[in-house]
Amino acid sequence: MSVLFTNLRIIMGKHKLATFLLIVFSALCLCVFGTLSEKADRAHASSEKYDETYGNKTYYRTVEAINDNAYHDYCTIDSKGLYEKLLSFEQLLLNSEAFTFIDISVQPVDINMPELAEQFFYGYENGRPAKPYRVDGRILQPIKSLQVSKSFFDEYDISVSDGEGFSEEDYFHKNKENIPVLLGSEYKEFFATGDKLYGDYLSERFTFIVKGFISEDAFFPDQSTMTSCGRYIVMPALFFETKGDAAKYSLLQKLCGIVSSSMGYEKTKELFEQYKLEANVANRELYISDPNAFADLTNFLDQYSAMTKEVASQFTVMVLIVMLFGVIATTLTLCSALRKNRQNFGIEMLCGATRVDIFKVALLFLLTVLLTADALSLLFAPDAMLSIQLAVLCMLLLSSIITAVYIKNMDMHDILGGNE
Amino acid sequence: MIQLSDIRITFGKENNRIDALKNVSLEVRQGEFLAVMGKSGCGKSTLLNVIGGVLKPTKGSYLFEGNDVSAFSGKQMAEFRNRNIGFIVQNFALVNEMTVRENVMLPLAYAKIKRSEAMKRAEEAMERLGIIQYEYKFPSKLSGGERQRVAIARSIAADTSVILADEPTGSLDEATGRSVIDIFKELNGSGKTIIMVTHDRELAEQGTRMLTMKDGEITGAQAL
Repeated sequence: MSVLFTNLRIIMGKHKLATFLLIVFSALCLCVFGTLSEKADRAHASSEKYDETYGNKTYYRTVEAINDNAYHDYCTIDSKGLYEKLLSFEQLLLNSEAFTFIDISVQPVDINMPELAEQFFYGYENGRPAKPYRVDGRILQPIKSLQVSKSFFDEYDISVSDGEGFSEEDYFHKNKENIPVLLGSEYKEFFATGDKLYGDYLSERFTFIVKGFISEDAFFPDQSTMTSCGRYIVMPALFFETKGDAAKYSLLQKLCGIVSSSMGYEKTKELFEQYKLEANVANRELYISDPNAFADLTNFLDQYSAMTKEVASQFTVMVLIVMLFGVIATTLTLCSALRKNRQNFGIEMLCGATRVDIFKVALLFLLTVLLTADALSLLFAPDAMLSIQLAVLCMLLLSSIITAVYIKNMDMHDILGGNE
Repeated sequence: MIQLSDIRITFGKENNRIDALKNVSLEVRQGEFLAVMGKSGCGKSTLLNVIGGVLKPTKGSYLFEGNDVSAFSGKQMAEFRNRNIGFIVQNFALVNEMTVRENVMLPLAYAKIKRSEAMKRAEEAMERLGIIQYEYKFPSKLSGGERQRVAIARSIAADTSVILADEPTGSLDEATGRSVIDIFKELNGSGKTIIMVTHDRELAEQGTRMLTMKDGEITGAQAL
């Protein structure tokens, strides 16, 4: 054992600078490896999440374009009982087993809080943030809001990070003044769970109670892109118990949602028309859009998918290259040190050392260098501890194998023989 | 004790093949002081490499005290060298980064002898050769003669039955060289077998038998 450590001392003493540089380089490699592999993992996770969330599905927009006369009648006396028919149609869509219907409206809510940060204002992203207005002595600010069905959370894999999500009851509005809401993650610095916001929704006064916050990685399809939920107030797409104005407006909005289907357009449209027939609204202007109309979003999703997969594979390649650099540098330095120490090893073999004894010295050197680099790298990249340990193991294994082969082929028999 | 039969050592491949030893047969009895003479490149050092278990013969058999050394594995060969062979060479074969004491104790460390026992044996050997005062010095601080004594002390401490000396006085002045030969004679007197390679006839004549080699073959043997 003492000879082993004496030899380690000799090798390190003879190659102080090389050993120091090797430790620094290995630590650097491990830091980069750790950071990159974390990113690669995240990219792979995003890629997998994308496949799970959007994989084989196609999205079709549903559109309501009821003509002016019918709309006027619906909003006033509703002489044809259209509200009930549309309600029945919505239920057929929501309960369909052949596809998923997602209520998703972007109707703003007007909050009595004009001092709210501008990024939450309706129209902010278009460069035209809505201006506050005065009504009944209150100043109301239109704020971006989403009204969604339960299927919204399942379909887009959206979770709640703080507080709790909507319960079944939250989707039914029984003449209460309160509406539970979930806030986007950017609201976190301004509000907490349980806070109340006051304002109007569909021209009626409500108190909005914060139930929780949507997680940071939540996106929903909006026009031709995926939009973050971070700046939105998310409300349940409400079922009103009584047939009031809010109930009527809300229902029309809810019918403009998204159908997620893997059946293909023709079959999906056929089923949509059948539901219209069953709800006795076959002659109404309710449409399911041609997928080409949604092509921008489809292309965007495809691009996003391809990009995510590409990024994930690029990170993996970079991780492997960094690892390879580490192994090459370690092995070259070690083999060079062994070569320069060949005379000593030869002498020790004359005294009874085996090649295994020499390999033990090399292994101890490798362990010392890699464990020191390991400790150093953890100081700078503590989050990547597991990846770094894995890298250390791989580097140790590969370098050991190469070094073992090198030692096996080291020529020692010329130690004897003088300059005659 | 040592029995070599038709030993052949071949280096290189195909057209670049060189026979360093050609069917060498040799018998060395215990307690002999054998001197091997010959010109450079005649195969003297290769012969020592074979006897010392550093090189395996390409052909032929090598028996040491009845054991077939040519069939030993790498580990058995290392044990064989450790227990039976002491090497004294022209460039001293000392590890310069180890102290005199560490060098002398080196074979004992590989023999896994207890440290206290190893230290005792090393001290006795260093005292016997008059180098105990240098035990914590590094070889580079010693003269050639002193370094050679350290190498001899190493084989005395290891208590090997055979000492292989390859041009042991090659780097020493005449007086120091003579003193090294005296030590060999003393060791030979105490029962050690010594095989010494030299190109100096005067030194060779100090042995009990002299062999001459040429082109990888033993061409002559003479009892002294």
